[in-house]
Amino acid sequence: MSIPFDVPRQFAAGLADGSLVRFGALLKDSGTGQVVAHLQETGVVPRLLSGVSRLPLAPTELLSGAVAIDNNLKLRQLTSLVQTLQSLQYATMGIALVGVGVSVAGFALMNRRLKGIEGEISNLKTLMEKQFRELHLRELRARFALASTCLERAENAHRFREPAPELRGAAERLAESSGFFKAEVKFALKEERVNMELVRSFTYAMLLCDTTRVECLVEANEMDAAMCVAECSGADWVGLFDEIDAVTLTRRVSAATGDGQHSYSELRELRLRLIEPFLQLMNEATEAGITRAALIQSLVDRGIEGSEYLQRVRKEEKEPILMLPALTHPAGR
Amino acid sequence: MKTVDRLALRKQLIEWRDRQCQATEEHFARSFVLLWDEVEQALETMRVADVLSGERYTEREIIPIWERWAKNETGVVLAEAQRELSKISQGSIETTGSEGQVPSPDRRTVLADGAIVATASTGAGVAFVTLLPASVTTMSTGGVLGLFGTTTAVIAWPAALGLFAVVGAAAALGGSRLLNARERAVRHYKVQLRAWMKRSAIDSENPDSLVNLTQAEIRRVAAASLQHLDAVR
Repeated sequence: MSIPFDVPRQFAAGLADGSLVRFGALLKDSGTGQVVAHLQETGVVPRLLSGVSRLPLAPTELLSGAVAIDNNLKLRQLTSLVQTLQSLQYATMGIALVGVGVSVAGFALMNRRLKGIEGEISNLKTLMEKQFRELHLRELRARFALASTCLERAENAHRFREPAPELRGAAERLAESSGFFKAEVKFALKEERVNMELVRSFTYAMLLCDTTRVECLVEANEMDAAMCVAECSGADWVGLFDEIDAVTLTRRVSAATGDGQHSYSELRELRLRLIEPFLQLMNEATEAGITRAALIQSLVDRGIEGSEYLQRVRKEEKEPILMLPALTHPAGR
Repeated sequence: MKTVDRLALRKQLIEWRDRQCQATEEHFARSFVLLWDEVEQALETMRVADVLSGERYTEREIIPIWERWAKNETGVVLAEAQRELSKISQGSIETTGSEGQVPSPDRRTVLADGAIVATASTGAGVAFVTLLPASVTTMSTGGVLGLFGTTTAVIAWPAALGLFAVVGAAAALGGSRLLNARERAVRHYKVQLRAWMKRSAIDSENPDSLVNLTQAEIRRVAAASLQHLDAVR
């Protein structure tokens, strides 16, 4: 079945004149509020970002050394990605955490990212206080190992004659891992002294687990379940960070650094350098996450199978982001 | 209300809260400089008799400056916050149409408390905030200052003028010794006063400082609005 994708360029004028607005992975008519199109990343994005060890903050940073550019094709694709993200008014690379539309990062890449996060936490060992005694570290290792095993299961599912049960199983276990990381983030944010590195690592691990759960379920053609997971986990992410504002978080993070006594200008610098970018990143990631449910619904309405859809977008070699017009939009009919 | 629309409104409320909390901190930090200028000017004209009059000087000269400043600045911050809040979110209600649904003129949003808000598809939007009960969105300067008064003001004014005894002794000698003693007393008082005012007005570590209480008021309104938003079906 052919999927009637458009390219973002077709909507550039509307975005520029304000008649269209992007919200998460949706493009909406700013006058009527109707959904015009759904954004979907393609296999180009994870291929370009596969070597990135630390997520750049803004799209433009991709072109300033965050990604190793070893050939002209990669440079062209990267430039195209940055231009597309800018035209879609993405301020941060939060979407790289969770993908645009249904994530097509693939389970192997997700596993590499997960191991990177685990490595960052292990390196924090020297900074950690009582809550990070050996026992806690052992518990963390076990949780990361479980999540990693799930990702391996998902990665190898296609080798089974019936991949769907294997993918469903992986999604189910990833829910447990995600729940654990979520609880850790909640706990850490409630402390009077917040270790920001830790919050960031647990948050990224949680996003990664939830995002992969949706990818597993779409791959297994469990569209209703995928939609439900996308919406529920998005709502959970919203709830996590809504309760804490940048000013409070800055104070708590500053209380955990040095002697805890910081001047107004030091607090301001911390907020601008670390806290606000992180919250902004989370904001974009959350919006991208929660709006993917609408895309999955659109696939169901069109009768497109999840596995078929993923195969198509993973294979794309030119455009980093494609647009699936809404059924009500003239281009989508 | 669809999840996406709810999320968009939620985002606006969160952004409003964060922006206003930040603006509050910056506003008080800036205007504290003006407050201190005024206090310093007052202290420059402080006479020996004022030093000797003890707390009466503080009550007569300093507390009025402080109270006027606190009232004005809290009022400015909360008025601006209120103005920004009232802009949320013009047009948000009529944009709740789901994919495939063409908004009809009689579409309605039913709120949790039973109120029905008709929204015309072509008419002006209804600001979300106007749909909230007044008790949720009204930010009161008096409320903040009331809380401020019961927690910090007056009770902890610097006992100040710890050098009264010295000034008193010097008074017996008269002349330049008396003036030097006055200088020292004023200097000492100034240091105490500044520390007290900073702690009471802009110290983020002090939960009862004016900046923290004002931010708490902003957070209260944001939390109540979010709660109300969650209840809108």
